[in-house]
Amino acid sequence: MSYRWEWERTESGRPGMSGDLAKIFRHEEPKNPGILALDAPPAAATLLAREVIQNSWDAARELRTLDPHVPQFHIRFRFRELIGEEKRSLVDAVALEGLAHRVDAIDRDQVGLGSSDCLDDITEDEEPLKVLTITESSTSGMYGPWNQNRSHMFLALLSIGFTEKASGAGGSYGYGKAGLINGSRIRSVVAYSCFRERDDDPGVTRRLLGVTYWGPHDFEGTNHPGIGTLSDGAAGAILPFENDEADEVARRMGVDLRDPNDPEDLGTTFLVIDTSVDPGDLVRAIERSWWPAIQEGDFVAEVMDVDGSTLSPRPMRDPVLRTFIDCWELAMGRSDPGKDEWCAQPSGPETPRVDGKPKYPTIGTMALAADLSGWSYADQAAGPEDDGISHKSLVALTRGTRMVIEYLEAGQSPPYVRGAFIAEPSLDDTLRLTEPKAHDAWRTKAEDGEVNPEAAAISDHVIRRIKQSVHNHRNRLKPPVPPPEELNLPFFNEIMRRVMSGMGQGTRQPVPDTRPISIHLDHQPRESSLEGLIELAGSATYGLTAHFDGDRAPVTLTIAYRFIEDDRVGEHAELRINAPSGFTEATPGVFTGFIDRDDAARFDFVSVPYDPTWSGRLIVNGEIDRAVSEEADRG
Amino acid sequence: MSRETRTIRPFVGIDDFADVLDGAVLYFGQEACLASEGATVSLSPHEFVLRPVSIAWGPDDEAFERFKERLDEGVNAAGIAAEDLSLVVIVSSPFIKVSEVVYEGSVSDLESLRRVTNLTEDRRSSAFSAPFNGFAVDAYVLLSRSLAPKVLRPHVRGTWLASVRFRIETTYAPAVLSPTPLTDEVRAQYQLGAKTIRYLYFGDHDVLQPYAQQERPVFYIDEKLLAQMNVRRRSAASRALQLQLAQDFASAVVRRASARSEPLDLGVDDLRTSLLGSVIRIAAGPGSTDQDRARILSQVSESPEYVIARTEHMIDVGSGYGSMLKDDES
Repeated sequence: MSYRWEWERTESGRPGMSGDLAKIFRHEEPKNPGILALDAPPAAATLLAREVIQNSWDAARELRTLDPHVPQFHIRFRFRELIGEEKRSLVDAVALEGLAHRVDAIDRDQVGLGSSDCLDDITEDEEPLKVLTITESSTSGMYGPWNQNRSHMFLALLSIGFTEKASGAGGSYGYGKAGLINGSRIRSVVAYSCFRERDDDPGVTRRLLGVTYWGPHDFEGTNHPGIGTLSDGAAGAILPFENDEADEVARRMGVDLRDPNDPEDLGTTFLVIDTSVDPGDLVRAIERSWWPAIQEGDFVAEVMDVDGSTLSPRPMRDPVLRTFIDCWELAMGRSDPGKDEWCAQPSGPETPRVDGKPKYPTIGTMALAADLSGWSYADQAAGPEDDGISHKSLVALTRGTRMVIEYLEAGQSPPYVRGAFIAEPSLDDTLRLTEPKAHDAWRTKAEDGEVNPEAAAISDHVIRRIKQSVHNHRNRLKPPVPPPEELNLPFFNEIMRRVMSGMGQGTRQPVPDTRPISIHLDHQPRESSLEGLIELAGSATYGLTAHFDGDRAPVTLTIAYRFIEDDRVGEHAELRINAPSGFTEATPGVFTGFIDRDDAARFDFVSVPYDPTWSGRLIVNGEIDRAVSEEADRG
Repeated sequence: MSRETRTIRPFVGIDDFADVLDGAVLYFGQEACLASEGATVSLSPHEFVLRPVSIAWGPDDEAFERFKERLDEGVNAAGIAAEDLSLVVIVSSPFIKVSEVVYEGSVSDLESLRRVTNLTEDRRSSAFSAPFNGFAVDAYVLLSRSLAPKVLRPHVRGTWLASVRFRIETTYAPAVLSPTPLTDEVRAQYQLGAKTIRYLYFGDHDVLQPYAQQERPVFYIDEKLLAQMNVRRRSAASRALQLQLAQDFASAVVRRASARSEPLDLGVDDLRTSLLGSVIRIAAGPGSTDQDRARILSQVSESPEYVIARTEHMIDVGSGYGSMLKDDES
């Protein structure tokens, strides 16, 4: 038997829902503040890690509530690249040729697909098809009678916006599917779920449903909202495969079958077709979002790469995450604060009050740490080849789910601190109410009507207290400031330091060359006739520049050669200078005479022989003799 | 006045090396300091000692390749084996009196040279850790062993063929030339009028000689005015006055130097550590070349007012007055 995708039709008089659910998170990039911007996993991996695990973890906790003896929750992400018979079998089982046929007739961009995906070469057996199988175990599964909105499969795959979850749960909006959808290039997901039989849904313990989430489009003259389903029903009458038939479809898709009598088999297997997520990225995303739960041993998550190797999230290996985990351990009371660490329970808001006392005496437990020789002054430790990270103080916010809600930015100047905040359990539900659909913040304002005002006020208090605690700790870490009476005109000192070191402010001003006399030097040290000694020989040629107004100038010309002693000029070296005719040597090395515009004056010189290890400085000056010049003008 | 100076080293055939290091850049953290220039950083002592120091032999990969090619060309032209030449970097801190080689690599092994060499990676020289006084870094191409003596050819081990200097200064340095209260007693001592509010006493200080090796000048400022400036140190008027006092100081140095004949015989290299050298650097401005500074030096004698006007721009006295007048209006 073969299956086919059935596409819902747009019908007036019935509410419609676009299938392009991936766009819900399309413009919401995960936050990776400060150092977390370095090597941040892509958005699709982060979304998958957060949303899928959160939903599964909620289901596991629900099952644990009903049956405390069920095995530990486990979730496995298995990446495969199918070719040949394996690929052909899956293509047939998921009816992917039908999707390929459809996509050829519609605008990819319009329905939310990229420019290329596995549908381009779905019939080419040797072109690998990337499939991600997510297998959760020991969860409640997607139970509930299909024909009512109490069906968890319906809520999880086909509804949006009205999921009600148990108190303290992670997800609260039914947006979790967006994590799955974003992980599939063709936006197709199959869910095969196994659950215990219930009184309101007798005789059913397994269901399987495939859903493709595209945007609205026209196909063969009909408009479709974009929801395609692979089910036992039809458009408008979606009916998941049940029990043995569900097992058979799952088997054909290469999915391990589930036994409702085995507690470990309770749960859901998701098939994400043509996944865009990289296994390594997913591991990093899990580590960043779920290290508190992993650290506490709440569940086991593992990722199997296409070669069969297992990549286990190990957040302690990550030196950045490790700092947050160390704070977590402090906050959990498992270690004592060290020299630059701090741990406390910040007080709760004054209102609401119960029996005259604040209802929430504390907002939770918080621990902060610093590394004053390292990352707390990360800007200073950066070199020229470091990435341009904008470092910040960060606090990992957590509550009952033990997912990191966000790394709260709590300071933008050094010393930077890092910390972990564990919300007081009694505040869990209140804080959950303030979370946006991505569960990545505690909102503090109720202005848009989305957040309960009382919850927003409490959240505001929590965030303020966290930031205040960071501020206080950073102040404790800062080197002491000298008392004010010792600060004697610091501004003047700063200016004078610049003056004394020759460092001015402002922009460079070109230094104009207004010299009236040009000087051309040609020189070279050479061996002297006296053995073992050297001498400097050369010439200095003087001329008039455009900055002198006239054709003839009386001048005083100086040629000197001085040895360098201790980096400064010292003793004069005697020069034998051959001056051009018309010049008179006033004193040794100083000549007076006239330069004509068309006749440069060349002086040849040679020094006395000197030690071959000595350096010297040749200093050649030329100056218009103004007194003579003015006298000549008057004459 | 026109003026040219040349430093003559007792060698021939090494001209190709002369400016081979000029494209190098010193990085103090991410702060770049160009060859033969300085950079001033405003950091707490703790931050200062954490910053890594590295030298980039070229500002980019292309320049780095050119640097290596020029070294090769220089080696060939000088007739010295590449094995006998080293690239050496020395850090020095005059304040703590430490000079230390922080990098040495053979010119024959340029293949293993990376564009950026970290100078603090394995060990941080104490010379890098003088947060109140900064440090200097000199890079050289020098002879790594002595060669057979030959006139006009470098042969003594340690002789450099090319060199470049970087300076890192810090605004955390202890107060430099702090103002001294001008009291009635001081006025009487120097026979100054009762309304004199500032007096720069040079004493035996020679503005052409190294500053640190002499008795320092004393900058007297009227004690009452100084107290007012101190109390209102953040006010626009106080800041304007402080800028003006710094400008007065620079002007006094220029005038004192212009009255001397020695600058005629000195080059900017000779004046580098003197007060006049500092003021010339200020007047020449950031990014100035030695040629720019030489031109400024020649103007010290000929047109000191021009040099003073340039320092006024660099000290930015006008911004102080501008803020003060705006404050006054409001």
